[in-house]
Amino acid sequence: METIQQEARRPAPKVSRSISIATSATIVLATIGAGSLVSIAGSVDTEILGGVAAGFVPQDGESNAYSDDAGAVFVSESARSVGYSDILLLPDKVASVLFSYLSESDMRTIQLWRQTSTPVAGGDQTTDLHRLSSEGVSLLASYGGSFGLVYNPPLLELPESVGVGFEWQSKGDALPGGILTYSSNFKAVAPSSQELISLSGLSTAELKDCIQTEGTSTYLDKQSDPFIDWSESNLWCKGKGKVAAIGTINGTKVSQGSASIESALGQIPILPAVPVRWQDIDSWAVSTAELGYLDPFFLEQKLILALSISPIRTPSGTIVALNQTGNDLVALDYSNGKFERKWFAHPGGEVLSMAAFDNLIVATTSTRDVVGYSETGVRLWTLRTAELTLSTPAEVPASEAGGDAAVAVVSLDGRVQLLDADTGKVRWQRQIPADVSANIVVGSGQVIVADRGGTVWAFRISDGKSAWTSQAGEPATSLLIGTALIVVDQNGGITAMDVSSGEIVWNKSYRGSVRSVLETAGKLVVVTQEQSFELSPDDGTLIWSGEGGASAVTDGESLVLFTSDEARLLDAEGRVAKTWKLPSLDNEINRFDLAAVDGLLAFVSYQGVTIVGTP
Amino acid sequence: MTTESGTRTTRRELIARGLKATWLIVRDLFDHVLAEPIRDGRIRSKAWPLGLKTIVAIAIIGYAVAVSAILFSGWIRQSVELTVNNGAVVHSFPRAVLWVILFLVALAISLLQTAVLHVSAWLAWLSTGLTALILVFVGAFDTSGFFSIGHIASFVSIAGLVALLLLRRRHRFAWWEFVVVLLLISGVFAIGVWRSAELSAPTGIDFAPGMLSLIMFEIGQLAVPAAIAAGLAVAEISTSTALWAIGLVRRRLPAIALWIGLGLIVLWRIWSTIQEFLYGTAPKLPEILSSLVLIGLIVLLWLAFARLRSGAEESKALGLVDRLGSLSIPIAAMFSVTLVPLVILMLGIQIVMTYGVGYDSTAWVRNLVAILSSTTSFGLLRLIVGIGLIAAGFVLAKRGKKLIPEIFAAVGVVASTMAIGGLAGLNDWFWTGSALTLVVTSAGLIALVWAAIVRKLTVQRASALAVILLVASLFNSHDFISDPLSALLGFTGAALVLFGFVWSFLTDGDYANETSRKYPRSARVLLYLASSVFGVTVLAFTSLSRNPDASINLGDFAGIGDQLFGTALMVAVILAMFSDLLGNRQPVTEAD
Repeated sequence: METIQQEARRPAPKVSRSISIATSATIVLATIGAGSLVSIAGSVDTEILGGVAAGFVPQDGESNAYSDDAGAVFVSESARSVGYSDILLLPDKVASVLFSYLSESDMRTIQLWRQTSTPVAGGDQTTDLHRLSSEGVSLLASYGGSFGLVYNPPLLELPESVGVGFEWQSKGDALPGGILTYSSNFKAVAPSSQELISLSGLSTAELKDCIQTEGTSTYLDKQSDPFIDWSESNLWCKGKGKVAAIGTINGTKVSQGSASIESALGQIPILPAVPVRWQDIDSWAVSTAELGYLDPFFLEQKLILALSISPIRTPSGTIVALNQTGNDLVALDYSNGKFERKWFAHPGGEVLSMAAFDNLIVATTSTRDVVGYSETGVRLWTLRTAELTLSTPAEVPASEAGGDAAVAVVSLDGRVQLLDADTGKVRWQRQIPADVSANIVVGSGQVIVADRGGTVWAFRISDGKSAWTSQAGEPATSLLIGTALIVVDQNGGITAMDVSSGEIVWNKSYRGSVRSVLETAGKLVVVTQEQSFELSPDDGTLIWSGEGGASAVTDGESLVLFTSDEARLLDAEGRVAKTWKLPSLDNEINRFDLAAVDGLLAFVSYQGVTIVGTP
Repeated sequence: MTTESGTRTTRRELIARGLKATWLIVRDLFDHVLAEPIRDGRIRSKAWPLGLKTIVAIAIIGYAVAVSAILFSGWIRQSVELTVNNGAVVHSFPRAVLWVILFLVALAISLLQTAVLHVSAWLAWLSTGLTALILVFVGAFDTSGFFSIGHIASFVSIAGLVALLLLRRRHRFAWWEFVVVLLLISGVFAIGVWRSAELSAPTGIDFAPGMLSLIMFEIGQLAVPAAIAAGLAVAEISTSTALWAIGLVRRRLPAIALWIGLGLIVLWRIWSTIQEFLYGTAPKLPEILSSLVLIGLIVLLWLAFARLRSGAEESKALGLVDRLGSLSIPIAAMFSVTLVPLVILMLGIQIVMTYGVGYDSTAWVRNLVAILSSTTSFGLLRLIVGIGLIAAGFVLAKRGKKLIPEIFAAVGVVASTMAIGGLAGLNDWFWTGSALTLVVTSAGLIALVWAAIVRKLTVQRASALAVILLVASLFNSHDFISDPLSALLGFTGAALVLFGFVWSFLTDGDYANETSRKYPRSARVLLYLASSVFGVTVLAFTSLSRNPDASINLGDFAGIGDQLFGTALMVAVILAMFSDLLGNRQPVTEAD
């Protein structure tokens, strides 16, 4: 074997052109081969079960409005998931039936489509839970209404290779223990029913992606007496689900077809605002409240929340949080010592941020959607953006927006948009040449955004034209107090600017990671884990400073500082006036604190809510 | 006889000459500031062994792909599906290009591993150990059992790499080494992602993005030295521009042009300084005083070096610019030397936990990681390295070396003061770029006035003063490169790093054109490419994630590099100019 020294003394051999080319080709081929291996390996994805039938199922987050034969309008939302997490959201009795016949492997890999209908005029939400499998699309359960059903085996709605001329049957239990049994017969035909087509509102060209199913379902009680006799014709369209249906239930004609949400906006209940105002703080005591909801058929159920972002409070006092999967908005109202779920909604994907305004809740999602809901859970509009929106949307009151309320949103790529609050339509949009993840500030006739580079941009609400730009540090959060725009950056700096010109008025610094920034009695309060302090927004004068905390909340006049196991009421000099003991937090568990009408709420994932307030 | 047409002809000639001279200045400036460093610093393919050219071409294509991914990251994100992980921080990534980043990481590691087959033993075994850890980490994503395909693949691959190292250590580079290494490493990456995806896909979980995030989080730190060095780029171009611009004006235009230029620069500095005071952004007194201390310390050290050396001193400004560029990566590596053990420990924790060791059992290792990654540790390291550089400067000066001791002194003092400021919590009281500029401007104007009063304002001194004030101006507004690039990219945090990476890639390859017994040329070329490809791939990952903290915030480290090297270079060049000013020497800006 030669050493490198012996090799060096040997004259270098001449390399022929063909060897050189062959060498290069081998290296290139090896590189392409290696790249291909990595590419192929990285493209493994979840196979969507259900064959042809799966093509008729809407994508996750899709919604549509429909009306029934009584003229009531509903908004339907679709949620797609894999695994048992959505089964855990079911009423106990429904979940236990599914657990009883699904294997462990099925539980981990089951593909579900959940369709929830919310009545626009108010009332109970109803949900149909379907399964996509090698057999096709089947109905697992229906719940939320006055009558609930859970199928074993699932009722086959569309067979895997569904096409014109197919026929299929299924039968089994519709309630556990044979309390109710079912049998169904269906066939698929080309769309031919004029009534169905008219109800769907689709054109002839659009019908080519649709199929009509006709059949009957019979439900027998335990004595095998007919309980429900249901004949139906349904129009299924690709990517849209069931767009129209007609039939008779026990001889009564029923129908459902496409509707327009805009035409039903007037039916949406308007909830009165209940301002946060703390009174008689001395009488506040600590208590806990369980979470749950009432299914009209399956009765009282437990509710679990997993909080990746802070719950919010709507002006009417409803608390909106995320459910245990992080995919659904859950609206809670407090009554009789318990937080009851009023409604839930699925805007699509995972919820990244949410905000509540006057009769409007806006959520941004991982599917690049900005979705608007009424305070009663009716989806009003959806705006698809090119990029994710991490920043919390901001309200532009009607008084500032020229008569009609608006919502300001900015996506990660710096696109600032002003949306009509009722319809979600874009009034104007501007592009900042930088990314934005911090919150938006609205005030003084302007929409103000701070990008990641620290540049602060102000746009006129009236027409979106640039009003001014200024410079601060990489923003953590911003707010407006009077005429002072305060930008708290991530590197220990606070910059105050005149909101009308962007001129820097004062600078201060702080220690630690910022936890809360609020306005209390017209003053700026900043809380980090190392310190808390109050500054005058006009000149940055320190009013008081004290120990740090985990967060702080205010009703606008009084301030409560939270630590890991206490809530502390601070007086105007920052001294602790009163404390309440809270359940201690384990390491790395987040608690989210909110101001309530007359008290405080502390939310922790997978636990009940701690209330500090009037007993 | 002078006719009207004759006068016009003369005027026309003058204008033509003026335009020609201006064009020549611009052309020469471009050539000296941009083209020449690229000509001198690019890698040269003469007498390369068989196959190396193809490997280099592949690496350059990979580099270009990564840069393209950065430049077009916005369009890519909007065009393809994003996978989103909503945890404590929202992490999103364009799914379709995931495999590209993964492959580029594998390519960079393959280039490194091929390079170290023929280098000194300690580097060879350290790199191989690190590669082995990475492969075990990737293979561990196959959680189907102890003898899973992923685990077996990683150990087989490691055995292959070790065998190759043992067999090939004493031989010259051969092209097939890269092929073997690439297939071994890419194979483990492919198997790791395939198995983890296959296991999780039926449950609806797309694990590949999470896997890529974990890999980049664990090893992305290794790009830090390159990012710190990248921070020098803007300062390097700024000072070089100032030196050459003045030199070319002096050479190409009549003497009056130099005086006019000096006047304009003086006005510019005065106007900028007044603006700072008017807008309330002027430096505070403590910052100015500490700037004077910083400059004073460097001056004292330089005087000490000059005494140790004895002999005539010559103008050194341009040499400082050239030399610091070639020293930036080794110095940056010194400042981030704790990152290698940090990465090894972090990988080790992940690996042992995958193989069944409990989380609590790794507590002492995690504590060590926390200590190594704390700001106190980084500050102490900076202080130690800074003092070490100053000490090394003394040693080299005693041996008669020039330029390098001065560079070490400047960088050492800047680093030490930055470290002391951070460790003592006195950052608000320490020197800033703005304060340094003010001090330099004031000193320059005082020198100008003094020289004019005592009638010693020669062309040489005017040149030196013009350079001093122009460097100060460009240093104070050195966002003139990164700001437009940020606006072009449409997102923050990457512009300075990207510019620095590309500039470094184009101009810092000269050490790869040399050879030695312990570091033969082929190894140098491959090491240079590995470092370049890896750095730009980490940047591409954070750009595509639109999250500067997705792996490691290279922008922050480039900012540190800008502060460290940029400040040191500016102060060094200005002090060199003041030395020329006092000695009435011509600043050297042309090849002899």
